[in-house]
Amino acid sequence: MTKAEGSPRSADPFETWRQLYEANERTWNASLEEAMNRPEFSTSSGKMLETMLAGQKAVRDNMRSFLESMNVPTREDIARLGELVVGLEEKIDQITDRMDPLEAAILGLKPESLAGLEAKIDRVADRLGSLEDTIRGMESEPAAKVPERVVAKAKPVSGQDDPGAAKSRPGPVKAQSGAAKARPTTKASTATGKTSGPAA
Amino acid sequence: MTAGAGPIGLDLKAAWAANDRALEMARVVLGSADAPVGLTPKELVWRKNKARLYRYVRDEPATHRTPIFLVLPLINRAYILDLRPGSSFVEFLLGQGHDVFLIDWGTPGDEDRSLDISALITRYLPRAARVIQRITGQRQMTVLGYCIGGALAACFTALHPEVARNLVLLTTPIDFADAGKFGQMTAVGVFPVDSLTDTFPIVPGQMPEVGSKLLNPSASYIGTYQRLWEKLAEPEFDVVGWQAMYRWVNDSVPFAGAAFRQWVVEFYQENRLVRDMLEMGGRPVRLRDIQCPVLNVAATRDPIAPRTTTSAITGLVSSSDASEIVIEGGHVGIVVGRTASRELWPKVGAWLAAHD
Repeated sequence: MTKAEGSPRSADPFETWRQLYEANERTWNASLEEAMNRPEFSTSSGKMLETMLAGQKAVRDNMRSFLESMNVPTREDIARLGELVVGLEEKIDQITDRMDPLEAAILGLKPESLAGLEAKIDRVADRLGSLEDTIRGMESEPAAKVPERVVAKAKPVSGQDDPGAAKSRPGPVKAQSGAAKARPTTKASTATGKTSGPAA
Repeated sequence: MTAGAGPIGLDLKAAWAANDRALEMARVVLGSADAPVGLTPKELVWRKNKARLYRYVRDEPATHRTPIFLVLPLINRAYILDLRPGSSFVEFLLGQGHDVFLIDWGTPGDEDRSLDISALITRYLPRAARVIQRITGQRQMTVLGYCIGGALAACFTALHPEVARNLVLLTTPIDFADAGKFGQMTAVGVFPVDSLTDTFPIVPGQMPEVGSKLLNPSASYIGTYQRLWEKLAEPEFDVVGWQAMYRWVNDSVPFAGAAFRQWVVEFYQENRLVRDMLEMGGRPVRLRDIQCPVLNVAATRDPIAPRTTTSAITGLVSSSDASEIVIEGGHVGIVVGRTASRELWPKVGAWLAAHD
């Protein structure tokens, strides 16, 4: 009887390997650990990596040059496009971030406060309406009743007292002086109101 | 001569059995790429660039008030916490009555070369957290991070302490003063991080993967297959479970260049987080700003995140309630598998229930 006949394990091709591994695992581990714990190992592996990277970089650079010469977009070109899309998404997110608190504030408004807001808007509308009526009333009144303040303002702009001002503002002055001659009341006051509104 | 011996004295029966097992081994290894993983039903609730925020579907309303926000590592697939039914931390949390959200960082492309960790913490996590707040109606949540995801979770909690009800860290490196072999490999003057990120805008996933395997090379490259060979002879061997785990280990994710550089330089080489020198989005990241209850989970045999890197957190935060659980096992083994279901999950579950 041979050894193979006596032991079925002998037909297992992995059995020898398993025995070898089990017998040596600890030794291998200890040796590897000792080697890897040395600073020389880290330095050496770093240098190996750097060499590999230099080779890889040369390949990439050559490929880029080739693609550029062929007028074909490179990986970098496509990545730049992707970056633009990602940047746009970020901008949309930023807008959404600003909208969220607004939405929350609107949703958080109570019906009473909305009613109060509506009443305030009504009051503002009423005041605007009365102002409009007043202005219309002023337009229909004779020239004598134009407020003295407005007429006084209109005088220098007509170009008689202040030629320099007339030069510097030819458009309005021309229109104003003409209008003042023809209809000294209403149009003069309106034009004057337009030019010196903020000051009045 | 034995009953099965052939004409040349070879035990043919045993030879055929060994042949069958070898074929089975090849089938198991090669088929692992298609192993079903991450099967717990979930819905997509938010997305930004490649990142996805999922909410795991519950049949009944959550019994715990505080939602859980899982922050996963950048270099591994997110399904490690939901590997497969029966080996899923997510499934366990759902069973405990939690509302579970998970952020999956996805796979970065060349267009993400400038995406660094600061951007993820200041632009992604806060928005994801706001979505969780809006969906659940809860202002605060439990932020739970694993590995690098834990470091992200800690930085996020430091910047937004008002959002975190609790912080749970699983094997999370925080203090890199003595970072073990990874610290040696990535030391200044040794590791060519600038050349690497200059050459690869997106660092191939195989690089960190090989680095992890080199921490225990004989077990990673030989022991895995040797154990599989032995286990295939056991009738009760969970082949699908092995395949799922094997798939995850080898299913590495590329690392966006800027994020990789920031991780190596600012965390490993300069240890800025612990030295109060880390800034993100123009704001200082101070671990002492973390005031919520903190649970730190460390593993006894973890060469990836050794205890020198993980255990400092409890002394660096301002929380009056900061505790640590040390579990016998390795970096991945304590999170998924039999040890996890027996040790980690019940302990974390009890802590979460007490801090709801």
